[in-house]
Order: sequence, then structure tokens, then C-alpha cells
Amino acid sequence: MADRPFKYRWWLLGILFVVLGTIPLWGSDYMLLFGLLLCLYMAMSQMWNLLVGYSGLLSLGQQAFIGFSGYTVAVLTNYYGVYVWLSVLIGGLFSVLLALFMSLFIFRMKGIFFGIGTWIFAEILLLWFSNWEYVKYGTGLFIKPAPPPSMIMIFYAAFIMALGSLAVVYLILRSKIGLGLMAMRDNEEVSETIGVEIFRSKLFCFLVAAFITGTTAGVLYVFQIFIQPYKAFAIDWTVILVFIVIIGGIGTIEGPIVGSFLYVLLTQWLADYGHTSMLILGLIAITIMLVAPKGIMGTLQEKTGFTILSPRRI
Amino acid sequence: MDKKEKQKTKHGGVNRREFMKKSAMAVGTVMTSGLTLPAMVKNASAAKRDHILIGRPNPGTGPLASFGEGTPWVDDRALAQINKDGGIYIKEFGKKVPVKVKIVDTESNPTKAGEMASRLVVKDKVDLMVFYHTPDTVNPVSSMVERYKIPGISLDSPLEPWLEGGPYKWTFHAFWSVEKDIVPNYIGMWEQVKTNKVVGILMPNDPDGVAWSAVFKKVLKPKGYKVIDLGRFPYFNKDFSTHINRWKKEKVEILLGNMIPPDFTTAWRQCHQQGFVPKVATIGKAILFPSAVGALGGDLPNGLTTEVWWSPHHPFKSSLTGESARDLCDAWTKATSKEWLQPLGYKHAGYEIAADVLRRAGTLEKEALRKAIADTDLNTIVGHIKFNQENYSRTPLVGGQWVKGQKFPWDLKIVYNKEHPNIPMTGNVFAIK
Amino acid sequence: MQDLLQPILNGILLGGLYAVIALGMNTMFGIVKLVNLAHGDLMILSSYLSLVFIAWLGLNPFWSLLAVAPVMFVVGFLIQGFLLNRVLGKEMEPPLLVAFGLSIILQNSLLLVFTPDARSLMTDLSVKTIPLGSSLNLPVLYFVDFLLGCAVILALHLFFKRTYLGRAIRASSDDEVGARLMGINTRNIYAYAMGIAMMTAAVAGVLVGMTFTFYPHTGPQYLIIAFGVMIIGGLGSMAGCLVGGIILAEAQLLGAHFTGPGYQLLCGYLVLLIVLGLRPQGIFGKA
Repeated sequence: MADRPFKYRWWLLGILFVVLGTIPLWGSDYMLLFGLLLCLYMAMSQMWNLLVGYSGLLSLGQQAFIGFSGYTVAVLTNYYGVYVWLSVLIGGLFSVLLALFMSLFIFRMKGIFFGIGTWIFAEILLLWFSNWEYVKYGTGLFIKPAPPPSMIMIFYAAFIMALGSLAVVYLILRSKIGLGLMAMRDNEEVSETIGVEIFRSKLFCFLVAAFITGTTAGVLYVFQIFIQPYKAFAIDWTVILVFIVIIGGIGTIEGPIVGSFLYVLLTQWLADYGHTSMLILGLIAITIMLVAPKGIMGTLQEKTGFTILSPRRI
Repeated sequence: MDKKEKQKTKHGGVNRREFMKKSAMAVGTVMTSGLTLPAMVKNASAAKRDHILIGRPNPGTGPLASFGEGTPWVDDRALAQINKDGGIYIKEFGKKVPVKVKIVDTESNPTKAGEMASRLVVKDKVDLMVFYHTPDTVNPVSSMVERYKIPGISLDSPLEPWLEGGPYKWTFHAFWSVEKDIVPNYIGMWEQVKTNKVVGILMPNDPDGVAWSAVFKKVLKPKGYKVIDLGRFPYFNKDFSTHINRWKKEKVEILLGNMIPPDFTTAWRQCHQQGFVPKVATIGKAILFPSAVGALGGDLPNGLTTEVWWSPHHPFKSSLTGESARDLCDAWTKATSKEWLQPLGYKHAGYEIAADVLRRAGTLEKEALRKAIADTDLNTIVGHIKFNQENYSRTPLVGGQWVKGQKFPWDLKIVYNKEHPNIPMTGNVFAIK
Repeated sequence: MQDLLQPILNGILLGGLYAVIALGMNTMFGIVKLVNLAHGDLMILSSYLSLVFIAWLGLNPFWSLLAVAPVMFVVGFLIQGFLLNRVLGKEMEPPLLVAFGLSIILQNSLLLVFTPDARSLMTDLSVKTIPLGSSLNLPVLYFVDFLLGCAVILALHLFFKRTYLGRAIRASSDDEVGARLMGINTRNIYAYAMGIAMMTAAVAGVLVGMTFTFYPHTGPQYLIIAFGVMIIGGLGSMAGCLVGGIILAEAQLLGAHFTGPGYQLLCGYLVLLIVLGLRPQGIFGKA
């Protein structure tokens, strides 16, 4: 059944982003916090979706970029007094370099092994940073940019990342690279005949995802003021991304948006009962996998042909 | 396929489009009303609440849970006393208002601690933040407090790691220093036992571990001690055999450590498993509590030495309830049937300081509260509190040793008090056999 | 050279424990081609169950196994039968999310029920040591772990070779369609296999509980160890478990000996990464 891109898709997404983007005007401080977290998770989960849902790269190690970029920002602002948003950008660039380095090793692996490879890399970084005197071992670093940015500035940085991640994914998927990836997703064997291009496309997506994840993480840590290796490089990040994307609907662009909203809503609502919220998250995950394995948006798409953003060129 | 053709197809397309149109309009309406609703809510919440709200990030769960254990018992009791005759006079209300506290669980995790502190300020709009228990709680919350410019009072975390995050303007801290208090107490205890002066260091790569090892390495060598340091280990390390082998090789007789309780349980058991039992084992943080000590199992706790920052024997009284340290401990044991814990006094002292500050300030205006804290000069159940130019106050420290107890399985005896002779000794140091 | 003896000895013994930890996960991978990411947490569940039985019946940890193993068998059977079998297929995301979901549910349930206090299964063996010569010590508990680990591996090997169920399981994993043609209910078989895998996890859990302290969130650490053993030793290979376990343990301990204890896990991971890159199917695995 062909998807029917319908004109209201722009309206819906437009309204969402206008509402989100104007929070500083009408929302309370708490709404700002909420919106900030939402934007950050939207950006990172959109990237994970790009990797797993579209490029077939099961990354279980995005936290490598999150922590690496976070520490870059911490070191640059603390030790060298670099301007905070420049540090964030550099954090993103360093993440790309890290991704390039990682690719030398793990791009020979496939499927779950690729995933394990990324996870091990993240664990190695965790151990490396927690033993490194330069970043004060495992005690963690404070991120103290001077002058300190206001909450509204941080919010808009996150907002730009959320918008940017969506735009990037949309553009990639509508480009030649995207077509190649979709072809690969639909039929792996046939696309193997155009092997080299697929490899390059995958690498390109991996690097882009690293950049955006890293930059977003930079903004996250400017907000959190404090970074510590055990949390920064923890597998917990991957678990969150997995939840958001798969529950939201993998391989759909709206999926990460819906999933992020659900996640932030749940964790904020039950913030005072941290363990209960995670428990509920786990139950929701299992239930959805049994009942609607394509996630919320995926199942919605299947049943109603309802796609807000269709990357297909129909 | 152009639009006209699509309109003619009969896949229920028209119905679907109608549905979409209607739902889009519905969403639009909700969103626009959503624009006005929060504004209304914003105005409504501008109306004041009728109490003072203190934010209390606490490690209720996680490896530091033993520190958090006395909460909310101590908190509730202290608040009951403060609110006994209506509370504290605040000029913005024009009358006495009660003090309420919102306790949140940091899960012993520094990142979570920072997040919970953020929420307390931004969502719950607390007037004052009171927090304690190791750098993993105190450091990140201090930073949040400084960022949001809320007055803060913290205790129960060594000074040097806290000062790393400074300089501070809004938050104030009271506890002892590694260099000025821990070192003389530890070395003082070691001097009471005959050893070959070879010290093995066992510390993780957390703020305490890094600070303590740096300080000790600096001061031990001039005093004639040989230091064996293999570097910092990560939290939840499972295997210490490398350390133990080296210590056996170098004939270490004094074990110096500071780590979270579970790591010491693993390490100390492995020491015994692999045939290494030093004459002296002085461990900070890990063996402060009966539960942590009991978890070691068997006779392993016997003779372990540690620091004592508060005990029933401390000769101080509460400015809030007039209780002595012994009274507070007895009340705890009566209510919970458990042995006393060192943090009890400090949790109580936090409320003493907060109450004193609120009374003197008489207002919820942040700058006035900050100044009131800075002017504190109070005798509390943990000693005298007076903050200096760098926003801290040093509290007294003595040395202790665990021995088999009568009422409870293990007792902590005060075995070294030369730094603060007003705190009585209750036992003498002995070597572990 | 003298002081290398102790780490080498410890490594061999620890390797046996690592092997048992990985055994269940490795076996299931060989059968259903699914990596159970909740394996570590299920193992820790066994440790907690043992704790409960010890408190309730006053047993020694070894005897508690008689109670824990059957319970874990049922747990494994139910999980595979009602959960994992439903998501077996070509897509890799549903099993991933289900396993993560299970892991989260287990960790947080254990947290709520047992609190985050560190626990361990106490036995006198924990602190016994046998001196071998002047500079070597045999930690008795590690030795017991090693012996029991080998015993379990041997038992499982015999099970697969000699019993009907064992052969049915092997048949189902080699050729699912063929096995079904022979009248074997493969979905049921998978559930039985998982039950057995969980029994090995029960043994691992009890041993780990006696040797190290555990809390609700220690599961993932052991998951990584299980992965390491699986990858180094070879996917789906039982002998590989033992070899992989010893190699991983040695990498960790010798690495720590030379570079410092802070890098203990790091050395293990580096070896793992190298094997993953050069020979991803592991030493005994099939290409």
C-alpha cells in the first residue's frame, strides 16, 4: 500500500515545532526544562534511528560520543576558557574523529557484533577516562563556561539540535545516499551488488550521527554542569535510545519524536520514584513488542497509511 | 499519480482525509488552548504558598544508602520541633509559617543528584537547599545551587573535594579536612601499634580517593613511612588480587583505604582469601556503619579502624531540642531497634543551622538568607559552626576501632582523641591478629 | 617471574567461573541464534533467590541450589515460551528491546524488593586459603568455583550427547525445518533449552554470589563478561566457554599486574576487541 503524503503533515509538525520553540515566551521554568530535555532526546534518538532504522548499523555505543564530546566541552571551557558554544561544536567534531577511528575496527563486523564492538569501545573509553589524571580520574569535571549561558540560550541550542537532526535525516533520506540505503533495507542481497557505495553511505551516516549526537551531548552537559565517566559513558544511554526509537517506531521519522515525548513525560512524572518509572518503561517496552512490534508510529503507519514525513519520493 | 487521480481512488481515501482534517483541527485547537493554559497556570502559581520549603537531596538508595538511612526519621523529628509553635516568623507572610521539606532520592549517583537538585529549584521552587553525604552528593548539588543562586547548607563530605568545585558564594559547608583532621588521627592511631611503617593504599578513582591519596602521599614520606600505591581502582571492582600480591611482596603492615562500602567488603574478604591480614587497617567511608561492617561477615570487622565524626560520646547538645548526642542515639535505637549511626547528628545539625538562619533572617529573600548563613555562629549537636571567608566550618574528628559488641554485634570505640581531648576515649588501639 | 604465578593461578580458577557465567547465554545463542541481553540480570536473580532460600530455610548456599535451579528452570521456560519465542524472526530489534526491557524490569524489581544494599552469600569458604609454597596461595573459593564450573560444562555436554531432549535440541538448532518434520515441537524445545540455560545461570549466580558481592544492578557487568567469553572462546561452543573464560580472566589479571589495577577490565576489553576484529567467530566457533 503506497503511503499517502498528505498536506497536513507540514501543519502538524510545524505546529509542534512552533509550540516547542516559543516555550520561553509562554511556559514556566519547568516547561522550559521539559522542552529542553525533549529536544535533546529527540536529536539523539533521531540519529540512532538513522543508524539502526535506515542504515542497518546496530549501534550500542552512542554513549562513546556522548561522553567524549561532553568531556571535550568540559576540558575546553574549564582548562582553556574557550567560548562555550564553540566548545560544543568542537565536541561534535571530535566525535566525528572518534567515529572515524572506531570505524577502522568495527566496520568489518556485522549485525550484533558491530553492536557489541561499539559497546566495548564505549566501555574502553569509560575506563580510560576514569583512570586519566588529566580529566581528574573518576571524580568528574565541572563545566564552568564564562560567561555562563542562560537557561533560555541552552534551550535554544537544544532546539536547534532537535530541528537540525530532523532536517538532516530528512535530507539524507531524500538524497541519493538515502535511496541507496532504502534499497538496502528492502533487499540486502541485491544491494550487495553495489557494495562499495553502500559501505560509504553507511560510513557517512555513522559520521553524521556521531556529529549530531556529540554536539547534542555538548549542549546536554552545558546544562548539567557536571560530567562523570560512569554516567557519561554508560550503557544506560543506549537503553534509553533503544526504548525511545523502538517504542516510537523504528524506521519512521516521527517515531523518535513520539518516543522522546513519551520517555520525558514518564520520567518527569515519576521523577520522585526513579525505579518505578524505569520499571514501567520496561513493562511498556515488552508490551509494545508483543502487541505492536513496529512501535507506535510504525503500527499506525501500517494500519492507516498515515505518514507525516515520508522520505519516499511518491 | 497526480492529485486528481488520488481523489478518485476508492481506498476509503476521502474518509481518511476527513478524519485527518478533523484530527488536525482538533490538535490545532488543543495546541492553541495549550498556549493560553500554561500562562494561566503561571499566573496562578505566582500566588504564594503558605510554608517554607527546604529541598533535601538524599542518597536513599545505591551504594551510599547507609549514609541516607537516618532520613526521614531525623528530618521529621527536627521539623516537628521547629514547627512546634507554628513555625518561624517570615515577614513576607506577616506571621509564623511551618517549615516543610521535600526529600528526593539521588540514588547515590552524582548526575542524578544534580538533576534532582535542578528539579527542586525549577519545579518545586525551594527556598533553601540542605544536603549531605559524601562528595558524590554534595559536589554536584553545590554546583546547581550556585548556578541557580539559591542559598545552600551542606555537611558530611570532606573539605578538599568540596573546595575543588569552588569558589562558592551561595552554598556553605561544614565538615573536617583530610589534611588537617584525617591525617593526624590516622597516623596517631598507627603510632600506637608496633609496625614496620609500610603502608599500602587502596582507593578508588572517585573524589575522595583522589583527594585522600594525594594528601597522604605528600605527608607520609617525611614522617618515615614507605608508601605502596598501585593507582586508583574503579567502583565495583571485583578483583583485588593484583593489589594483594604486591602488598604481600612488599610486606605491607598498614592498610590505608577509603571507598564505598561494597568495594571494601569485596577487598577485605579477598585479603583473607589470599592470606593477607595486615596489623592495621584504617578505612574511611566504607566501615562507618554497623550494616556495612556486618556485611563483611564473620570476624572480619574485628580491629578495623576508621574515623569518628560523631558518636553518643560527643559532648555536644542540640540548639533545637536540647538533646545530647547520647539522647539522640538512644531515641534512634528506641524507635528503630538499630544501633546508632554517625550521620544522625549531622542530619540533625543541618536543621539546627537552617532553623537558626531562618529565624535570624525572618525573610525568604534569597540574598538575606545567604547573608544569614554567612553570619552563623551556633553550637550544634556536632560542635560549633561558624563559616569562614571560604564558606566552610571545620568540625572535630577522632579515631575509632570496631570491636565485638554486647548489645549489638559490633561496637565502635573511640581509641584516639589527641586532636580533640574533650571527646572521651572509650577504648585503646590494638593490632589485628 | 615468581610473582606472576599467583595471577596466573587466579586467572585459571577465575576463568572457570567466567565460563559458567557465559555457558547459558552461549548455548542459547547456538540454539536460537539470539543473544539474551538479560542474561546477566537473570543470573543475579538466581543470586537473590538463593539469598531468600538461605534466609527462609537456613541452608548453606550449595544446598540452596537444589531449590534455586528448578525455579530458574521454570523462569527460563516461561520467558522463552511466552516472550522470546514470540519475537523470534528476521528483525533484530524486537528481541533487543524485549531483552533490554526484561533487564530493566529485573533490575528495578530487585531494587524495590531487596533495596540496593550490597549482598553476598556467606560461607566459611569465603575466607579460607591454602598456602602452596612460600609465595603462592590457593583461594579455596575460587578453586571450588573452577571445579563446579568444569562439572557443569561436562554435565551439559553429556546432556546434549546422551539424552533425547539434548539431541532434540541440537537437531532443532541445526535444522529447524528438518527437526519439525521429525515430529519435534521446536518452539517447545527452545523453551526447554532456555530452562536448562537458566539452570546453569542459577549455578553461576550462586557461585558469583559467594565469591563477590552483588546488588540489583550488577547484572550488566556479568553480561559483558559473558560476551567476552563467548566471543573469544567461540559462539555456541562449550569447550570454547572454558578456554574463553580462562583467556579473558588471564588477560584481566595479567594486564592488571603489568599496567595497574585500574586497567584490569580495560585489558580484558582490548583482547576482546582484537578477537572481534580478527576472528569474530572465536577460537572454537564455526566460521
